[in-house]
Amino acid sequence: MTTKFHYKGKRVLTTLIDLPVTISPVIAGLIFLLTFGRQSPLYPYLKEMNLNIVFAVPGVLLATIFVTLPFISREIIPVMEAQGSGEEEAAALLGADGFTIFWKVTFPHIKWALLYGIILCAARAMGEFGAVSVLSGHLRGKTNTLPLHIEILFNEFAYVPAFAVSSILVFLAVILLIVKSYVEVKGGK
Amino acid sequence: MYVELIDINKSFGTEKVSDHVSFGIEKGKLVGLLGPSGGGKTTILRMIAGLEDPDSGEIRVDGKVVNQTPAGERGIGFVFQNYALFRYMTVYENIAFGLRVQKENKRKIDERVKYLIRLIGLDGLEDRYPAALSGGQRQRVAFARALAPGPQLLLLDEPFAAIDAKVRKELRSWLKEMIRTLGITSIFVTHDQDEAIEVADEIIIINQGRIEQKGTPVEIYKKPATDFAATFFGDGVWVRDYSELRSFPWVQGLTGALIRPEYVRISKKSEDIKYQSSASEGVVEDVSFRGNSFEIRVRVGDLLLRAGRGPDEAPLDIKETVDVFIYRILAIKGREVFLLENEVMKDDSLII
Repeated sequence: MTTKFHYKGKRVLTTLIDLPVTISPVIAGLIFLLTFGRQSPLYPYLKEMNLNIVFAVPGVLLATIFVTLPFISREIIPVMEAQGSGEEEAAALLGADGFTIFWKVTFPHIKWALLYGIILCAARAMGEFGAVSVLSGHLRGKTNTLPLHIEILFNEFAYVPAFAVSSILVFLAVILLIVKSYVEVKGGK
Repeated sequence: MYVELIDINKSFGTEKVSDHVSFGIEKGKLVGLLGPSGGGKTTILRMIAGLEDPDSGEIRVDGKVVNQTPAGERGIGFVFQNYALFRYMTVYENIAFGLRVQKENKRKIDERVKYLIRLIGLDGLEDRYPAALSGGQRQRVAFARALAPGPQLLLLDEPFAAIDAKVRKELRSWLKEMIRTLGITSIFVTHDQDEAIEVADEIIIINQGRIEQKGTPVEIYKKPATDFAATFFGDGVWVRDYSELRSFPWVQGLTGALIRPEYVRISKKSEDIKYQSSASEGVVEDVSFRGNSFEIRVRVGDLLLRAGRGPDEAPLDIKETVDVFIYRILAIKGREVFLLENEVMKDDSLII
């Protein structure tokens, strides 16, 4: 969207994409809390639809996506910009519809960048603390993530379990790093 | 007229890229849009293709207004400047793409693609990716891809710009012949006048979003309609004041004059020439070999002129004093152009 079309407000959109990077995750969490929490004007509608966002799994997901999305877009945008829109135009002139153009022409170009972005995103999501911490409510076994669990254990002076969980997190991070390097090598070809 | 543009205007921001552009192109013609870079040629091509919308005006193809028709439904083939081949598809898949999205049956696609690959002379390379092709081969693939769905109109944006000089010449004649054989109406954009002269049946000169002149290469060369057409098309030396040259009528309010090398005849003092009396004296300043002729720079009074000389003629030395006879000049007054013949030639009784 930001690379293949020229339109008004393009700058605003690109700036918005980078917003989560600049805002502290805790603030992001608070914003979500205000938007979907009890004080929010949206709350009655959400309740009516039986949607629990705050202090529930959707909230955790939402916060994670918000914080990590820029990692994907940041990876893809330069690739798409470098490529320009020539191939897409050629495909459109030959009569291809939007979906075909994306799937057959654009996607092969961004495949590796996308994968790379997803890995970075996953790595960030695993460790995400601030926004999730505010939004999830630390419900053990329900809305707890690994970093949150470490904090809880740490606050309970359960150092050994805290470090054990930490090492799981480190281990996962190392695996992701290995996958990332592999993707980099593959995609560089 | 097969393709018609009627009073097209287009601006990008405050910059006017098409200024009341109107022209028509006959079916089967190969037309070149010629002009300096940034003059609005490509935009015109993109508007015909539907990649860009005009701010006002009408575009007609085969009698139908196509302004509202999406690019993919106009049935126009387009060859991009950098070819824009699908990098992640083989030569075969590139050419087949247009037919596949039209949901042609497999056997028909295969037949058509194989025919086109043979036509462009790339047999055996159908499984290559564009990255493994040379510039010339890529251009041929782009050409075949544009032709695959059987368009009635082919548009080419600077088709030879990305190819090195030697292959370019070869490809020009190849493309010209190919388009002739297929009989498809074609419009191509170029900033290279040699290319336009060699390839096009008709040339449209475009500058700053305006059409300066439309005509065959010979017409434009012989009778340039505007000062821009005169200076851009063909070679020449620009002089402010030609009063030093003998026997040309003076035009009131002149901006200057253009003297093409072909209009200038240089002869050695020892050579006998017609119109000797009205030749001016000049001094050779520079002689350079141009492959099939010599280019001579000669000073006549304050004017530094250029002229050609055949390789078989007696060689000229630098600083040699020679006779310079000028057949005709293009006098330019504002946007108007006058072709002035040397008056001696009109009146043969003057010959001594």
